[in-house]
Amino acid sequence: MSGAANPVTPPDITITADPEKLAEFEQRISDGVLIEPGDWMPDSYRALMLRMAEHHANSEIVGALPEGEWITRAPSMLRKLALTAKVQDEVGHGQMLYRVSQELGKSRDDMLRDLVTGKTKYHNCFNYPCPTWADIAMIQWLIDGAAIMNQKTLADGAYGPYVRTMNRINMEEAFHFKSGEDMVLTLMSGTRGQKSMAQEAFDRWWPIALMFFGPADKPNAEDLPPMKWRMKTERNDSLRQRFVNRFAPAAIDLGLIINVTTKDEHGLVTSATPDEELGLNQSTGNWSYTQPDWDEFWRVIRGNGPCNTQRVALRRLSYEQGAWVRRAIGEGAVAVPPAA
Amino acid sequence: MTMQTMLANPLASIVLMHADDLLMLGHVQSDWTGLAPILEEDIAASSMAQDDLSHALVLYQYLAEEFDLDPDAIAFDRDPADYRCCNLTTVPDEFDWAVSMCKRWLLSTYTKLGLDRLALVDEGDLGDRCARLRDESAIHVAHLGAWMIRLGTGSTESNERMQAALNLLAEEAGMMFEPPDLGFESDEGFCCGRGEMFDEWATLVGATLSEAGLQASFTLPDQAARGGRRGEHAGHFSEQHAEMTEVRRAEPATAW
Amino acid sequence: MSKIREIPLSFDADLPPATPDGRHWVVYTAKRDGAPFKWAGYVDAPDQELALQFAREHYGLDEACVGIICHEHAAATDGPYGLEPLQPGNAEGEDGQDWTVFTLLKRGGNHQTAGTVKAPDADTAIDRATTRFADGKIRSIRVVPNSQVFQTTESELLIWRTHDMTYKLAKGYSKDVRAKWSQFRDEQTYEQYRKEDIARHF
Repeated sequence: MSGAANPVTPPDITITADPEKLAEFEQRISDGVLIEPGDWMPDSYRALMLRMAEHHANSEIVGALPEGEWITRAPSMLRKLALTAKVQDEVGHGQMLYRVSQELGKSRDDMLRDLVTGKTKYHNCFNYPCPTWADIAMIQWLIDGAAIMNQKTLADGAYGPYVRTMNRINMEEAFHFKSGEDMVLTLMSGTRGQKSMAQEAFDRWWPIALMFFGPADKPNAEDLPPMKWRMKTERNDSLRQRFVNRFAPAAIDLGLIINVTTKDEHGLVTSATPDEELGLNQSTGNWSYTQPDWDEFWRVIRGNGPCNTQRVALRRLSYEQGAWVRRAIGEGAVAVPPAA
Repeated sequence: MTMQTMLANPLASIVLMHADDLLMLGHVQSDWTGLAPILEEDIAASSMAQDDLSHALVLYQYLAEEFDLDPDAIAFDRDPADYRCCNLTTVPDEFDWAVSMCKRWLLSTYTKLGLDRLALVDEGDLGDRCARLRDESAIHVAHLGAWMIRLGTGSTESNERMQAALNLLAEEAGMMFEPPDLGFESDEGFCCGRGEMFDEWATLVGATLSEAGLQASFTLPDQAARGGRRGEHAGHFSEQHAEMTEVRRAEPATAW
Repeated sequence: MSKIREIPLSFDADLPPATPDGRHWVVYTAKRDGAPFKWAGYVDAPDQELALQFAREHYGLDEACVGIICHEHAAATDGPYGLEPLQPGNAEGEDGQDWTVFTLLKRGGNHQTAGTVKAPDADTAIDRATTRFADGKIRSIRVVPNSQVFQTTESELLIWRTHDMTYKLAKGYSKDVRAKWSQFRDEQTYEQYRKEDIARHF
């Protein structure tokens, strides 16, 4: 899933590069030419691309954890197979994106160590709980749906290795989304219990999906490196609007109610009332909606979300418990002679 | 027809014991997805867990067609005592990769031999199904065998961990050959040649172990010894089964 | 879920010692016999045996696949990535070792096998490959010594499985999704929604 290197941290890197080369580089980008590893690029471009690819890779492998919780409880053979394959895809995407990051200059081991010690981040949406099976359906429908929209724009970016990886990844995201859509449709065609389970999960994930694209960009975003250098190609607000335009009418048709919610510190909904802002503006074709709670967004990103500690701890356990296997096949392993 | 008819059918019980082994092997292993020691092997192990689940499904689908049942109902809705998986397949690995690896390798080697035999059965398309599964099972045996050797010989540390895992599992392994309780004691042939299959399995396993610098001795338990194949499961199986069916039971008899 | 996901975890202050990355491999897959091998992704692995094993179980199972090759990243030499398509040169020769030639149709695209050339060194191999394979369309050439390209062999085990794998493909859900939507949306609205999926998202 996931993807979304959003929000790209605003660059604090001073551009110090040969002005002539920089001008040529920027001209290429505005001409739509893709950058390949052998090409000259400013150090700050390399650093920002690394940060973006590493964040994306981290998001994939942490993103495997919430859904992984439900593999053992999937309610049919098809769902069990599909969920395992889906979570496996996230690991595979992480593996590919770590390689893109390695080529930009950081070892995978360093990236994993920085992740499990909290030095680097991953996408905020994985810091929320997944208390029912219907959460799996909503994650794959809403969050993977959002991820596809975002990653399609990332595949229009300028860095060749990231673009080819993104194209490969997007091929698999279509399965995640379709499987999610099928699960949501099944629940909403099911028993009263299934419908209310779906509505409750929808209440949890709708605001997270809105936050998925990150807060509004600065007014001059097009002039700042992430957009100027085509590391991202569409504003967060614009992606969010496209998301609402697509998913709000679909949710309504399915019988889901789009609520404005409050949540407790565990990420569970404490109140839900229908979104009064919601409606289609016939002249623009855009749906209006209530913004998610951006204070909550910043609280969670700073490490105080419902599941931050748990997610990082499980990744760390995996890193520590697996060290002996990596040592055994790594270079310098002490070979034991076969038993007589 | 009913579930009981299927359970009382001798050939079905052989098919079911392999299917249940594969279901539980895939069930336990798929839970590792995202948590294995190396990203590449995480993906590989998950692919094989999906194969195990898929193979179980192919066999359940055969039984479903034969006995007019729903494959998911066979997979999930039986009473725990009606599952025929052996104890080895459900031994919890306690998040120890060595246990996971050894268990999968011991069982996959066994399953491959079982499928070799079922591939020869002339009963509907069962033989064809099993021949295809057998070829895929061979992928697992090769992959896991290569890992047994790497981890057995990789470092002193990894050798010790693998040896400890084998020590834990060796005793349970023989019970893979427990016959389902349907009068097979007197019919070696129909139970796919219990003694002969054990010898073949022990030879294959022994060759890899010696290359891996690991040791284990296996014995074929007495026919009378009762375990998972006759529904006498260890306590952890009912926990695993309860977890596996938790969502399904919340709203029974509906689509998920 | 497994107990490990539920129990509260605590850790020592220090991480275990670092475990350096394995060697980096580039993986290509062929969809059918005789088709070129196209770039599929990467694996880290200590040697070619594990690299191929890892590649089989990941990229070999993403989509139908009959063959896989891989080479170490360090074994490849990439020629310049042209802003314009490469034009054929006139370097020719039959001396030296065999090199596998990969071509790239566009920047940000995927390398794929084009054939082989003989050459004493990588630069000469690129020059000779440019003569043979640059047709005014490709943007770059990669060469790898044949001895450094490892392939799953015919005698080896199958890659793509024979059981039903549509559970991991979007097309495996299309029919059910359409049927289920029909309870909620009329055919025309659904069709419009589905087409937007394909046009804008998938």
